[in-house]
Amino acid sequence: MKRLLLIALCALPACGGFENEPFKTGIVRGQLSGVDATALISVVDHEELVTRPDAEGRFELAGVPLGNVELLAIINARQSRRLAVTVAGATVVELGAVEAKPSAKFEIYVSAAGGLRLTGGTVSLVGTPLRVNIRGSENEAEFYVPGGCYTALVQVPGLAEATTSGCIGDSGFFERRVELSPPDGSPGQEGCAVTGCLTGLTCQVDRTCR
Amino acid sequence: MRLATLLVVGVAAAVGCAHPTGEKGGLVTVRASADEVQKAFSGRRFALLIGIPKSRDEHWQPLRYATKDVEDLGAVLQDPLRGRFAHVESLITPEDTTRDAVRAAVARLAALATQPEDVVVLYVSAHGTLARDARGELERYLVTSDADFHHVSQTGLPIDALSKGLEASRSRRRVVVLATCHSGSGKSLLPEDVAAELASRKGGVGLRPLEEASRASIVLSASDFLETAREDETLQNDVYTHWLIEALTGGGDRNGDGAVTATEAHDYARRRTWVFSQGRQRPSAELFEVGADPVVLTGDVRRGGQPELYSYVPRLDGFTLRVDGIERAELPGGAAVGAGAHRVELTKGDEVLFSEDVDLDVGARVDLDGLARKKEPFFAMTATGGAFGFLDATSRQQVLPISPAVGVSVRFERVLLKRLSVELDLSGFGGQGGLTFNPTSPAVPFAWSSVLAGVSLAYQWDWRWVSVWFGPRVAGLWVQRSFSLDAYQGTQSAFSFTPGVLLGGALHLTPRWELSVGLQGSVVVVAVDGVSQTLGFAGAWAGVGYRF
Repeated sequence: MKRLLLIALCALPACGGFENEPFKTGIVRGQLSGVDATALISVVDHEELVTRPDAEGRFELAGVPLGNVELLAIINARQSRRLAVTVAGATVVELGAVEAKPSAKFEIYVSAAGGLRLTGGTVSLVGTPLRVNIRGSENEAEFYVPGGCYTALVQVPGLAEATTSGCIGDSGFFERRVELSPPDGSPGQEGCAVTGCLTGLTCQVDRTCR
Repeated sequence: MRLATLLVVGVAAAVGCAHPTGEKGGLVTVRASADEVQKAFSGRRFALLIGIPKSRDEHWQPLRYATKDVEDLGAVLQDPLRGRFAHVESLITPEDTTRDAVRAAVARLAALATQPEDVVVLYVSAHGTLARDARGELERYLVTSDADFHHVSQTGLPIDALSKGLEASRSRRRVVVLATCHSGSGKSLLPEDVAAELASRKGGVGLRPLEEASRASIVLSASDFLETAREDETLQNDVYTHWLIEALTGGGDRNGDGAVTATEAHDYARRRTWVFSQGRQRPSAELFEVGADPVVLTGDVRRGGQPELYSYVPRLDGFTLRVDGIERAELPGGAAVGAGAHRVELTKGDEVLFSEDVDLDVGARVDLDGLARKKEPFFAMTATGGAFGFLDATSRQQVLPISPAVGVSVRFERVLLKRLSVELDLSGFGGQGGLTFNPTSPAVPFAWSSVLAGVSLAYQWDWRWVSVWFGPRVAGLWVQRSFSLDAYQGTQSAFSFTPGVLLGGALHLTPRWELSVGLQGSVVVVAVDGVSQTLGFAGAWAGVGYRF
């Protein structure tokens, strides 16, 4: 009976319809000064929403979800900004000229347990499009970001992922050290067969470095 | 305990009535063809008369005149100069008046009639009572000679069974007369629980009406419900039956055509019963669609009778019939007047329901209710204001908010059937508002306009000051939304048929002006982002109407 009713209702003449999708996002526009090639604008927690400003620093972010969102603006190596914005459907939020602030430095030093050697790897800030390679003799990664709270995700082939969090003020300095373990914390399954061992150590049959 | 009398006369055969026709503002002419009159008075007559003076259960006191009622009525019906009934069967002994015996006798009576024009009369003078039936509903019962006071529903005979028993008859002029009552006094005695229930109620008792059992009937009651019907030592009969017999012997021939019909006899007995009982016993009458007078009980139509004006419908109860300014009858009831043009009025106090010049021919029988309705307004035009909207909150936030509306409706009453009305409505609504997709973001501003047009087929109940109607409704809903935003400019529109229901009511301030209210509920199919949704849609309105 219910099915017949539904069929009858669906067969009723009806035409036209409404589109609500255009009203479920908005647009943010603004202009940054002093931009360099590293400059970008993104929506925090929507890392897919990212754009780069033009040579004059003008930018437009489309498809920004409605409501209160936060923008992350990386202007250059020394300047950046986080901005709270309220977005309305199918409307443009004009930010105008965005005042830059000195960036804070966020450094992460990565090491591996059990004498395993790090081979490559990246560190990314969760909820942002920012990602850098681990490099240097001390296996470090650094970000120049506006003050705020961040979570860094460390990913190295052959080792388990790890995260570290912390908050930093504008123009401040923040350092974290992360020691990675083999996956599941059980040395030998991947271990040195993938990563190799630090100088002076040898990868054993059980894939540990000694 | 004295006995009360309830007289129920069921009559079939809607033949031979004059058909009133009217010209608005002019003389209303009422005529009956010779064929119609002749057909109305033809047919043989059969009767079953049952008197149950005593039940085996001594809770019910013996009736003094039940047997005599049967004998006296039988004498009139069998009189070759009066009733000339072809067959009259009388049952008065305990053996002949058991539940089964009465059922069998009713079946025999039903089988006697072989033509629709045949008249069938069933008369019972006995105790009546009320009891709960197997479904728990309060039911009228006839106290047969084998009835048990403590088991009425198992041993008594449901009153409905009498009417139903006659439905097998080919006659369309069935007359059932029950000289019983169920008031707890007079001709009835009630079980304690039923008596206590009745005593605690000030209104009706919710009994299923008898006409459900037999549509082909006129119901003439010796007393209103819960009134006491009485036997009387002076009259030596049941009071109502006494006057009924007197009417049948010729006194009831109101229009002087030589015959006494069922309603003529009832009107005669009704007036005299009311006077005799000093207003304590008010016989009443109801005519139903199929059943209609004239059903001749005694005499023959020897000449064209005087035109008669009558009504037995409850809505006209208490109105006074005035003819040429002279009070002629209190409704329910009727009066005979001379042929020709008359000023006919129905009044109650200062209220004048009907006042028209009516041209009455010899033999005409005019139903005042029908006459009055022809002159009553039959359609109302109403200016309405109200609000419409989706039933679910999501649609109100994201499709269309609740909207104020103005409109007009036209209600045609008595379309095809007496209680059927058709209502056409047209509403327009619009405004400005916002769509909300995220509670933390500003609403999306937009403007909308809509048109809602519907047609309803409703069953309508009318009281003196109030009418209520309810029925299915189908409408077309068109909605347009307009946006002027930074990133979107344009309009969107949708149309849908919306099947649903309508509940309406009107308070008649005057015969012409009314205040009305309505509720509409329907289903709308709307496509949103390419997905069709079936949504509930409702509206409420109030308005002021004028009846034409």
